[in-house]
Amino acid sequence: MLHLLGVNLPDQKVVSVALTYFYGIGPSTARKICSRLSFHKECKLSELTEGQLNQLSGVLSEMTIENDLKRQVSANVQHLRQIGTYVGKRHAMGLPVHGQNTRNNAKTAKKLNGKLLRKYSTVSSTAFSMFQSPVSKRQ
Amino acid sequence: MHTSLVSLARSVWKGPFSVHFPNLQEAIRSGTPIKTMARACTIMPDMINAKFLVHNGKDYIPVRITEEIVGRKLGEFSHTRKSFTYRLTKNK
Repeated sequence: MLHLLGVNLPDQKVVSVALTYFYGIGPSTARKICSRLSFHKECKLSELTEGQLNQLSGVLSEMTIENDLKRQVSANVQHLRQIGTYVGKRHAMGLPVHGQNTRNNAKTAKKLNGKLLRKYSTVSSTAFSMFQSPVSKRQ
Repeated sequence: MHTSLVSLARSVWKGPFSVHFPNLQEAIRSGTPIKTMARACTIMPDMINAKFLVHNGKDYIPVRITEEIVGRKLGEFSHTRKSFTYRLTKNK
Protein backbone atom coordinates (compact mmCIF):
# COMPACT_ATOMS: atom_id res chain seq x y z
CA MET A 1 0.00 0.00 0.00
CA LEU A 2 1.15 3.49 -0.81
CA HIS A 3 0.22 6.41 1.38
CA LEU A 4 -0.47 9.56 -0.60
CA LEU A 5 -2.13 12.68 0.82
CA GLY A 6 -3.77 10.71 3.61
CA VAL A 7 -5.22 7.99 1.36
CA ASN A 8 -4.03 4.41 1.10
CA LEU A 9 -3.60 3.48 -2.56
CA PRO A 10 -3.22 -0.10 -3.75
CA ASP A 11 0.28 -0.67 -5.13
CA GLN A 12 -0.51 -3.45 -7.56
CA LYS A 13 -3.18 -1.53 -9.49
CA VAL A 14 -2.93 0.51 -12.66
CA VAL A 15 -2.39 4.18 -11.85
CA SER A 16 -5.64 5.43 -13.42
CA VAL A 17 -7.58 2.86 -11.39
CA ALA A 18 -5.72 3.49 -8.17
CA LEU A 19 -6.38 7.24 -8.42
CA THR A 20 -10.11 6.63 -8.26
CA TYR A 21 -9.62 5.67 -4.60
CA PHE A 22 -9.61 9.40 -3.92
CA TYR A 23 -12.96 11.01 -3.19
CA GLY A 24 -13.52 13.37 -6.10
CA ILE A 25 -11.54 11.49 -8.73
CA GLY A 26 -13.43 9.22 -11.08
CA PRO A 27 -12.19 7.19 -14.03
CA SER A 28 -12.27 10.10 -16.46
CA THR A 29 -10.40 12.55 -14.21
CA ALA A 30 -7.90 9.84 -13.36
CA ARG A 31 -7.23 9.25 -17.06
CA LYS A 32 -6.77 12.98 -17.62
CA ILE A 33 -4.23 13.18 -14.80
CA CYS A 34 -2.34 10.20 -16.21
CA SER A 35 -2.14 11.67 -19.69
CA ARG A 36 -1.10 15.02 -18.29
CA LEU A 37 1.82 13.43 -16.46
CA SER A 38 2.43 11.08 -19.43
CA PHE A 39 2.02 7.79 -17.56
CA HIS A 40 1.28 5.01 -20.01
CA LYS A 41 -2.04 3.18 -19.78
CA GLU A 42 -0.76 -0.04 -18.22
CA CYS A 43 1.56 1.67 -15.78
CA LYS A 44 1.14 0.38 -12.25
CA LEU A 45 1.51 2.46 -9.15
CA SER A 46 4.49 0.43 -7.93
CA GLU A 47 6.34 1.14 -11.19
CA LEU A 48 6.34 4.90 -10.71
CA THR A 49 9.62 6.53 -9.79
CA GLU A 50 10.08 8.86 -6.85
CA GLY A 51 10.02 11.90 -9.14
CA GLN A 52 6.84 10.79 -10.85
CA LEU A 53 5.16 10.27 -7.50
CA ASN A 54 6.16 13.77 -6.47
CA GLN A 55 4.68 15.13 -9.70
CA LEU A 56 1.50 13.17 -9.02
CA SER A 57 1.12 14.45 -5.49
CA GLY A 58 1.83 17.95 -6.79
CA VAL A 59 -1.07 17.69 -9.23
CA LEU A 60 -3.35 16.16 -6.59
CA SER A 61 -2.61 18.80 -3.99
CA GLU A 62 -3.75 21.50 -6.42
CA MET A 63 -7.12 19.82 -6.84
CA THR A 64 -10.08 19.98 -4.51
CA ILE A 65 -10.43 16.41 -3.37
CA GLU A 66 -11.21 14.35 -0.28
CA ASN A 67 -12.21 16.35 2.81
CA ASP A 68 -11.94 19.73 1.08
CA LEU A 69 -14.41 18.61 -1.55
CA LYS A 70 -16.74 17.03 1.00
CA ARG A 71 -16.74 20.24 2.96
CA GLN A 72 -17.40 22.23 -0.21
CA VAL A 73 -20.34 20.04 -1.18
CA SER A 74 -21.95 20.19 2.23
CA ALA A 75 -21.38 23.94 2.38
CA ASN A 76 -23.18 24.30 -0.95
CA VAL A 77 -26.12 22.28 0.30
CA GLN A 78 -26.16 24.23 3.55
CA HIS A 79 -26.25 27.47 1.58
CA LEU A 80 -29.20 26.25 -0.50
CA ARG A 81 -30.99 25.36 2.71
CA GLN A 82 -30.23 28.70 4.28
CA ILE A 83 -31.59 30.84 1.47
CA GLY A 84 -34.71 28.70 1.44
CA THR A 85 -34.74 27.17 -2.02
CA TYR A 86 -36.79 24.19 -3.03
CA VAL A 87 -33.60 22.16 -3.57
CA GLY A 88 -32.41 22.91 -0.05
CA LYS A 89 -35.77 21.91 1.35
CA ARG A 90 -35.67 18.59 -0.48
CA HIS A 91 -32.19 17.97 0.87
CA ALA A 92 -33.40 18.61 4.40
CA MET A 93 -36.34 16.27 3.89
CA GLY A 94 -34.00 13.59 2.57
CA LEU A 95 -35.90 13.28 -0.69
CA PRO A 96 -34.83 13.44 -4.35
CA VAL A 97 -33.95 16.90 -5.58
CA HIS A 98 -34.42 16.68 -9.33
CA GLY A 99 -38.12 15.89 -9.48
CA GLN A 100 -37.93 12.09 -9.37
CA ASN A 101 -40.88 10.03 -8.23
CA THR A 102 -41.13 9.33 -4.53
CA ARG A 103 -44.07 6.95 -4.53
CA ASN A 104 -41.62 4.05 -4.56
CA ASN A 105 -37.94 3.75 -4.09
CA ALA A 106 -35.99 7.05 -4.02
CA LYS A 107 -33.57 4.91 -2.03
CA THR A 108 -30.39 6.74 -2.90
CA ALA A 109 -31.79 10.12 -1.93
CA LYS A 110 -33.21 8.76 1.32
CA LYS A 111 -29.83 7.25 2.06
CA LEU A 112 -27.72 10.28 1.24
CA ASN A 113 -29.58 13.56 0.99
CA GLY A 114 -30.25 14.58 4.56
CA LYS A 115 -26.82 13.49 5.68
CA LEU A 116 -25.03 16.33 3.94
CA LEU A 117 -26.82 18.72 6.22
CA ARG A 118 -26.39 16.61 9.32
CA LYS A 119 -22.71 16.16 8.56
CA TYR A 120 -22.31 19.89 8.53
CA SER A 121 -23.72 20.34 12.01
CA THR A 122 -22.31 17.35 13.87
CA VAL A 123 -19.11 16.91 11.80
CA SER A 124 -17.89 13.66 13.39
CA SER A 125 -19.46 11.23 10.95
CA THR A 126 -17.57 8.12 9.96
CA ALA A 127 -16.53 9.44 6.57
CA PHE A 128 -14.86 12.45 8.09
CA SER A 129 -13.17 10.82 11.05
CA MET A 130 -11.63 8.14 8.84
CA PHE A 131 -8.71 10.32 7.88
CA GLN A 132 -8.13 11.97 11.19
CA SER A 133 -5.62 10.99 13.83
CA PRO A 134 -6.58 8.22 16.26
CA VAL A 135 -6.86 10.72 19.09
CA SER A 136 -9.65 12.66 17.45
CA LYS A 137 -11.26 9.39 16.34
CA ARG A 138 -12.06 8.45 19.89
CA GLN A 139 -14.01 11.63 20.52
CA MET B 1 -12.44 20.67 -16.60
CA HIS B 2 -16.21 20.25 -16.99
CA THR B 3 -18.87 22.50 -18.41
CA SER B 4 -21.24 23.46 -15.67
CA LEU B 5 -24.87 22.44 -15.95
CA VAL B 6 -26.00 26.05 -15.87
CA SER B 7 -24.24 26.86 -19.10
CA LEU B 8 -25.54 23.67 -20.68
CA ALA B 9 -29.10 24.59 -19.91
CA ARG B 10 -29.52 27.71 -22.01
CA SER B 11 -27.62 29.45 -24.79
CA VAL B 12 -25.47 32.29 -23.51
CA TRP B 13 -26.50 34.72 -26.24
CA LYS B 14 -30.09 34.69 -25.00
CA GLY B 15 -29.08 35.84 -21.55
CA PRO B 16 -31.04 34.84 -18.47
CA PHE B 17 -34.80 34.73 -18.76
CA SER B 18 -36.34 37.53 -16.83
CA VAL B 19 -39.66 39.29 -16.77
CA HIS B 20 -39.77 43.07 -16.95
CA PHE B 21 -41.58 44.65 -14.01
CA PRO B 22 -42.39 48.23 -14.99
CA ASN B 23 -43.00 49.40 -11.44
CA LEU B 24 -39.93 47.72 -9.92
CA GLN B 25 -37.96 50.80 -8.83
CA GLU B 26 -41.04 52.41 -7.40
CA ALA B 27 -41.92 49.25 -5.49
CA ILE B 28 -38.44 49.03 -3.98
CA ARG B 29 -38.66 52.63 -2.83
CA SER B 30 -42.11 52.34 -1.31
CA GLY B 31 -41.68 48.75 -0.08
CA THR B 32 -44.87 47.50 -1.64
CA PRO B 33 -44.75 43.87 -2.75
CA ILE B 34 -45.12 42.99 -6.41
CA LYS B 35 -47.71 40.32 -7.02
CA THR B 36 -46.56 37.98 -9.76
CA MET B 37 -47.13 34.61 -11.30
CA ALA B 38 -43.79 34.64 -13.14
CA ARG B 39 -42.10 31.83 -11.23
CA ALA B 40 -39.60 31.20 -14.00
CA CYS B 41 -38.25 34.75 -13.82
CA THR B 42 -34.56 34.91 -12.94
CA ILE B 43 -33.77 37.19 -10.03
CA MET B 44 -31.65 40.06 -11.33
CA PRO B 45 -29.28 42.26 -9.31
CA ASP B 46 -31.54 45.29 -9.73
CA MET B 47 -34.32 43.50 -7.84
CA ILE B 48 -32.39 43.50 -4.54
CA ASN B 49 -34.50 44.70 -1.60
CA ALA B 50 -37.71 44.29 -3.57
CA LYS B 51 -40.57 42.30 -2.16
CA PHE B 52 -42.49 39.85 -4.28
CA LEU B 53 -45.62 37.85 -3.81
CA VAL B 54 -44.96 34.74 -5.88
CA HIS B 55 -47.80 32.49 -6.89
CA ASN B 56 -47.48 28.83 -5.91
CA GLY B 57 -50.59 27.63 -7.69
CA LYS B 58 -52.87 28.53 -4.83
CA ASP B 59 -51.57 31.43 -2.76
CA TYR B 60 -49.10 34.23 -3.18
CA ILE B 61 -46.03 33.57 -1.00
CA PRO B 62 -43.95 36.55 0.14
CA VAL B 63 -40.34 36.48 -1.10
CA ARG B 64 -37.82 39.11 -0.13
CA ILE B 65 -34.93 39.54 -2.55
CA THR B 66 -31.49 39.56 -0.98
CA GLU B 67 -28.05 39.57 -2.51
CA GLU B 68 -27.64 35.82 -1.92
CA ILE B 69 -30.54 34.71 -4.06
CA VAL B 70 -29.62 36.68 -7.18
CA GLY B 71 -29.38 34.35 -10.19
CA ARG B 72 -32.02 31.94 -8.94
CA LYS B 73 -35.63 31.78 -10.02
CA LEU B 74 -38.52 33.34 -8.15
CA GLY B 75 -40.34 30.01 -8.08
CA GLU B 76 -37.59 28.33 -6.10
CA PHE B 77 -38.64 30.30 -3.06
CA SER B 78 -42.36 29.74 -3.32
CA HIS B 79 -42.94 26.09 -2.47
CA THR B 80 -45.79 24.38 -4.25
CA ARG B 81 -46.29 21.32 -2.12
CA LYS B 82 -47.87 21.01 1.25
CA SER B 83 -46.60 18.28 3.53
CA PHE B 84 -49.19 15.69 4.41
CA THR B 85 -50.78 15.85 7.84
CA TYR B 86 -53.34 13.36 9.01
CA ARG B 87 -56.63 14.77 10.25
CA LEU B 88 -59.18 12.73 12.16
CA THR B 89 -62.51 12.57 10.35
CA LYS B 90 -65.45 13.61 12.50
CA ASN B 91 -68.31 12.13 10.47
CA LYS B 92 -68.00 8.37 10.45
